[in-house]
Amino acid sequence: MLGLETLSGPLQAVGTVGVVLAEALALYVGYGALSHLAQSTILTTVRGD
Amino acid sequence: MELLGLSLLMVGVFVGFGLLIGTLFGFFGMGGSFLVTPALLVLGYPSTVAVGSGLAFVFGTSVIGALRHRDHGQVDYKLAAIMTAAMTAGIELGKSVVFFLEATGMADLVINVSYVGLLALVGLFTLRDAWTDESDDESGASLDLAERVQAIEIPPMVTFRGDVRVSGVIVAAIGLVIGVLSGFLGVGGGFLLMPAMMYGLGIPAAIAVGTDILQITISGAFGAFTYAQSGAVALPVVAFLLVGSALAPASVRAPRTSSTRTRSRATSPQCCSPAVLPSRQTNWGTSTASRPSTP
Repeated sequence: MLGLETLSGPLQAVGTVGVVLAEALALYVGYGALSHLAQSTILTTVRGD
Repeated sequence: MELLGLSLLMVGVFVGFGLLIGTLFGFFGMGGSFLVTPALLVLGYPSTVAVGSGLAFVFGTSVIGALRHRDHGQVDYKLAAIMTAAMTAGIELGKSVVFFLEATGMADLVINVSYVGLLALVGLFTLRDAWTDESDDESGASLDLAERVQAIEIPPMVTFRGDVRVSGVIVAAIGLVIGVLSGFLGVGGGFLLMPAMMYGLGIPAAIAVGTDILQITISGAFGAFTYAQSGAVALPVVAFLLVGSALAPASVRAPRTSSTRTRSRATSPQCCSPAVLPSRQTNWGTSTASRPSTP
């Protein structure tokens, strides 16, 4: 995946951990923004503003 | 149609499974690899890949958890540092045991039996704890255990948040044992570390949660790194599990601060864990890097 298999052991390991970390950060930011947006929309809808 | 080499059905399975684990993580403060590793074994992944992927998933999901909890100030960095150092050594030791067992052809049997034994032990501990809860108040046996541990004066003595003073040697020893289990079974250690800190050391639950998540992040990264060096991490599986895990409602991830001694909740899910299901995996023998064809 992402060409990591072609790298040597330590580099492949760094790449793997880096990919997982990057995905986790992206999910945290992405879902955070999404939930914030959804929260605002739902509150606006419920309050009828 | 395939995504990252997985069929859409398996993508759905892994995302759904990740969602389930993420929800459990929010409720019980665990990384969930104690479910992932046996599930991958059942699906036919090699033992080393199942363990390595479990650790990589733990790393990813605990990063998200740690970010969500960091602002609550419930982390004891001193405790986390000692536990991390000890668990790092333990993980390396546990990994060596797994590769040795694989070379001798007994990895599946030993890992599966160890899983059943460990989960049964934790389940029995939980039942005993619940029984004590019903018949006793806060001065139960676990509190006595923490007091006994704190009374052992082996230098250096270390004071943690919550005014808990414990021997650093004992803390390191506990971390080492949990690290060995983490590297051996591919568990993040959360379901062992939480009760160990609360019941064994007397750390308040809120601080134990925050420290636990930070420590699991670090040890999970190291565990994933060591297995990834051998190509024993199924990255597509981890990626889809993380997508599902992060979808778990944030509301169930709130740290528990109302009680300083949440007792049974930290260990209770093991009683009904599918991790006790027997593995039918048979093709682990030769390659640590290969991934079986999608079931």
